[in-house]
Amino acid sequence: MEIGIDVGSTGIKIVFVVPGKSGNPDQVVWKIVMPTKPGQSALVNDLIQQGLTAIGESPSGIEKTCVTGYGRKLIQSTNHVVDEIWANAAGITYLTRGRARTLINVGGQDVKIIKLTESGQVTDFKMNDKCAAGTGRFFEIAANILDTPLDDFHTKDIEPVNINSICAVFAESEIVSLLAKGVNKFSIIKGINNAVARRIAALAGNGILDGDVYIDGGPANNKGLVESLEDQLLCDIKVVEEPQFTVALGSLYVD
Amino acid sequence: MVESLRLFCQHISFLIMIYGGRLGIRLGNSLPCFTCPYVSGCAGHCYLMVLQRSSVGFQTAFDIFFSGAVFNILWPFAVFLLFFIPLSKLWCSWICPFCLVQDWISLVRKKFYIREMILTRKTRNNIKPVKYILLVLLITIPLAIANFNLHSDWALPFCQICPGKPILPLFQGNWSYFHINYTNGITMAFSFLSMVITGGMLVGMFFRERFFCMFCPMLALMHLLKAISPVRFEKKIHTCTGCGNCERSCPVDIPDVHLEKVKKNVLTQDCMGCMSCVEACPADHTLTFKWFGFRLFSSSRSYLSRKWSQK
Amino acid sequence: MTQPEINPRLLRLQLKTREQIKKETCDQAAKIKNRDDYIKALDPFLESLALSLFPKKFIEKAVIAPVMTMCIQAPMELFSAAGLPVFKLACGSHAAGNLAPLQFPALTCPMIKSLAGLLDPQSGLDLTRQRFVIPTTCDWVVKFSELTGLYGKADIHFMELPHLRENERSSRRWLEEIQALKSWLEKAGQGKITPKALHAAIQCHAKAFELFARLIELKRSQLMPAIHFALIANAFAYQDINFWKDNVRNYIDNLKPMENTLAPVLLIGSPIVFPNYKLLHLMENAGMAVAADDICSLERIFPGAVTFEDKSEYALLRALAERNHKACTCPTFADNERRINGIFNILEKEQIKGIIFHVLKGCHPYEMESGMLETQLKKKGYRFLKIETDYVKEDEQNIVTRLEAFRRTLGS
Repeated sequence: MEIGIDVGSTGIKIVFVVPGKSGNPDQVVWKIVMPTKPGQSALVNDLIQQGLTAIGESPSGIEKTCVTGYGRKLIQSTNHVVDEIWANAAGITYLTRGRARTLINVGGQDVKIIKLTESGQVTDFKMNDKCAAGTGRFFEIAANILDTPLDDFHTKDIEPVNINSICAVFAESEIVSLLAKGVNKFSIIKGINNAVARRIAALAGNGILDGDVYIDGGPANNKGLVESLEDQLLCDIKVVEEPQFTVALGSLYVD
Repeated sequence: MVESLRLFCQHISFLIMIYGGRLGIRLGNSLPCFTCPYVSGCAGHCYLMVLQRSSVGFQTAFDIFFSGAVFNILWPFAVFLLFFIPLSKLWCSWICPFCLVQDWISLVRKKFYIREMILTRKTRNNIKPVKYILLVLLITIPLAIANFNLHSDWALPFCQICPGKPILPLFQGNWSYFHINYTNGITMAFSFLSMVITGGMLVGMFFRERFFCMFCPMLALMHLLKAISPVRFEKKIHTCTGCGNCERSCPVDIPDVHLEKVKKNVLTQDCMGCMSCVEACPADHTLTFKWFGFRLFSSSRSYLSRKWSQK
Repeated sequence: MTQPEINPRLLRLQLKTREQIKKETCDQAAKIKNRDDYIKALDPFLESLALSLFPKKFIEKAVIAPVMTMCIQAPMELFSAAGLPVFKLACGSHAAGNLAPLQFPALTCPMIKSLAGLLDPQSGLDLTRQRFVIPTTCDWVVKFSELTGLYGKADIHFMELPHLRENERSSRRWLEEIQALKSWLEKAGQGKITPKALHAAIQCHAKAFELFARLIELKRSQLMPAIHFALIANAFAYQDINFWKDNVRNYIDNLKPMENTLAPVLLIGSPIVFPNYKLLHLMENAGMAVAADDICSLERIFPGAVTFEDKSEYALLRALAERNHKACTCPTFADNERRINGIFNILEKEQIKGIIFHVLKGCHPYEMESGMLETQLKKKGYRFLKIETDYVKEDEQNIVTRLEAFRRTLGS
């Protein structure tokens, strides 16, 4: 059994994978996502223990542990440490059987656009810096104020409002004032989706997207965002199942 | 160092060209450099003189061009090519004795810390056609003598005004070409012009390196023929940062090597193959002299840093 | 002149900042001294650089008052010939920026900001008695003296840098600037600069250039660490030329052999100045060696070679002028498209596949060039990574992630 750990900025993701024998595909036997808290190392160990109990395995059954993500350097008890960009590329390549050429990862604190080859080799990537605008964090703040779970951020035909603030923190107060004005909640949600999509499109510029474009990371579950992104980037964007686990899974497939 | 090698080569060839005849060296009448026939005891003759002469050059009636006698003209040209092809314009900076004389004069200027006279690119562009005009004249005037009854004292028009004629014989102790020939109006005009040009050139050569070479019809002739020679001067366009060292160190300040951004070939009409630009180029393998594809000398940063810390 | 009364809060800020600068310097020095490849021969460079962050002390220690200069366009040979030492205005201290005057825009080039802090008028350094030589390179440098309030008070000699390099008019104008600098230095220094003295200075620097070329070769074949190279290159601007040469020779003689296991990359972009070696350390940790660079505070401290036709004053000044103008590939030039050629030259010669472009936030000229270079380099199949950062340490984690991923794209 192999364990892939993604210690992200907002969430810790862990997957347990049993390698498939004689040509059968590998199987994900257990997975979990938890918000990141102080004491990541202990938390990760607890979670692994939890997983082992859940599937009735003993620690001796662990063949390989890979860790990636922002907190990767904090976890000692692992044998492979990889950066999340390559882990992400490997994960999406595994899941799409090498079809993905461009990957947009919307993480908790950053956005990455990765160009990759059929075998999962990264050829180019872009990543936002310090600022959290256009990231998962932005959605979390918004979900909190709007009191709407992220899964319901999918909006139908409705006229979006314009969110003017680029900064996640300023947008927060803008949303509050929009709500106070009595603007429809879903109109605001669509506005938020558009704002984030614009940020990502700005990062992408006009050169990096080609081939099959995929999106992953927690916010990829938000279909509204994907639609807005398709609108902004003028291309079809595919979402893998359970997009928040791609990186954790991929950490196992980086050579 | 290439510069000292070149100077050494020039001095040896100067001795051979000017005094070699006394040792029995005979290189013929078709040399592609200023081995002046007026120097008695020289090792060979400048091809420009042959070009202007009767029966072997262009002082020839038109009907002869269409007879077998044209062979007399083609033969020296073939010999000229034989000399020219292997070295192309390297003849100028490495062998030509008149070039060395100019370098000596420049050396005197340098010893006195006197700055060089700088011509603008525009002026230099205006001077460029002069050498071709001279080349055309030194062919058409003899033709006119033979066919249109031009006075025979117009013979050897270029030699009569060439500053090599009075200057080079000085090295065998012969001052006699510094004179005015009072025979008739034409000779007077020619000899007067010769003195003016020689005087002007001497002043020019003192204040500017290779001043005469800017006007040299031999250079024009060689440039027209450069394609048939295996000597190439090439520039790797995509590694030149445009530092301008080549233009500054060029004795005739050719800007083209520095400014060229498209063509590989940078052997321009005024280039005389002295290679000082290659010596001053800091970009590795960016300027290269090639001979049949074989690298004669290529620029390198380490060569440059070594050379200039000793200069 | 009576000192104006200082606001007590400002006084505390000054003290605190000075403490922070000291700490920054010590931290960086300690970091370098704790490395396995540290050798004692690096100490003179470290000492000069540490002193460079305290201009008052630096000036007090100097026998002859140094002239402060910015950028690399004012030829060092001329200062040498005039017998005047130089204090290079370049600073990599984050803390120093805290003292920058209020009138600075929010997004200021970090180097300009820390310089302003370094030259804080309350530091006890009488700036009105200082002499400056400022070539007008980027907008920050152009406005520097006004922003810091030096304009009109200190003795500033501006050199108007023509932003074109390939036409004759600008070359002529720049040569005039160099001639003017010479006259200015003759007044400021010990009298007439003879062609002989100038030639001697040029020769002295040519030897330094030769030594530096050796250092570059050592670094490119990864026989010396990039951090050492950065120290030596940075210290060049603060040491007497002969002292520097001795130190470099001593360094080369004592250099320990090292194993090279790092992937070579080319670092280009905004200047990297002591003690801001953040990127250098991070790159090394991510498994990459700065085998070559095209940075004006590192390999390009000599923008090119001085070659001259004769030793007349005109020829020597022209050689210096063109070396610091035509040969310089500063992004502030309008006809700088051939800058990429120098980069290709290095990439080809050293077989380097990856380029990291360092942009200091607020350094617009480099920012503008980065995109153009990126397109051209990627077209040729090179890997390219742009790192936009400033002197702060908080973004290290983000940079590390990029660097590690980039390292992997280079293959083994």
